[in-house]
Amino acid sequence: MHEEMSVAVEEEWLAELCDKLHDLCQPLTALQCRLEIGMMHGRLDTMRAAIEEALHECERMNNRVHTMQTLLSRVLERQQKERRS
Amino acid sequence: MRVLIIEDDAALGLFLQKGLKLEGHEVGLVTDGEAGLEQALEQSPDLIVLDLSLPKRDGMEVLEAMQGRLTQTSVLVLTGRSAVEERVRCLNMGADDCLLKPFSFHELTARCRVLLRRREQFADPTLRHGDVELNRMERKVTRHGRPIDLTGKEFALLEFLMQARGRCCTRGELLKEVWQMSPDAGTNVVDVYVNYLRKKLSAGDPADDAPVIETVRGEGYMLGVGSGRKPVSRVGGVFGLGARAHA
Repeated sequence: MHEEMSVAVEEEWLAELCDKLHDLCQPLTALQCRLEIGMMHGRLDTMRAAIEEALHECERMNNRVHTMQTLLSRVLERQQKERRS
Repeated sequence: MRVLIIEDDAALGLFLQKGLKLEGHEVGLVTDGEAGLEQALEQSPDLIVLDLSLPKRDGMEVLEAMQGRLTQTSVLVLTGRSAVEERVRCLNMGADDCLLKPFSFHELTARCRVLLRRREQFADPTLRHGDVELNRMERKVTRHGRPIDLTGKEFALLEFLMQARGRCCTRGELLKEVWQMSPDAGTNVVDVYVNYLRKKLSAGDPADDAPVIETVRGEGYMLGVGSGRKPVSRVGGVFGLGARAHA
């Protein structure tokens, strides 16, 4: 019974982690495309604009990575508690 | 090529729009599935870049609603989920290709080019604008069924204008695409050939007096309403072109 519950919780976390990973793909794609488009021009001003916008995408990625870290630490904490008990 | 991007991530959508415009495409952008479907059915773009996770109506629902209704439009699906089943489902529902996020912009444009090539290969060889028909395979043009004898350049010019489907083509664009000349070349060759075409298209039949090619003052030329087909309305549309002053 206890094991079944643990598996269900793990599956729920995995699903949540998948969602977060999916969310991370958005700014990562935007970052890559923005830099590549900036390079296509080859002009200093457009590259600068691309870098500025790319930094904003980095910020979005940082936020999402932070969310994933929090989620993972919750999972690890719970696993440790289960092992102790 | 006319491209419609349906992507709810504002930043990504804008970057893709910017990049595809740089590649020379006419690009519209909408951020939810409902508006996307509406614009797709209204505009019949050549290519739809469709994200799967969308508000109001998700990408799968959009694909389902478009099934069998947009036979001339290619669909490239963008997905952040790596499950094979999802991609197979998309392809079964009418998508032409799937691209997994994160991706490189260069890969996206390469895939767009493949879809365009494939589309042209299977496309109906006849372009139609009102009573004018141009067969690209047989290199024949008719108006009201009457054959019109055109030179190679005249044919290429008419073909380009017909492909633009009521959009205004600037003289620079025509110089570049039809004559492979610099858009800034100081020549009136475009105006001269438009004149030749107008004469040939209207000669010999009183029913053919409605102008096929209209002048857009200060900008260029477009196929007009005179030949029985309304130009595509772009005012306020997603493709972002404003109203034009007609000569």
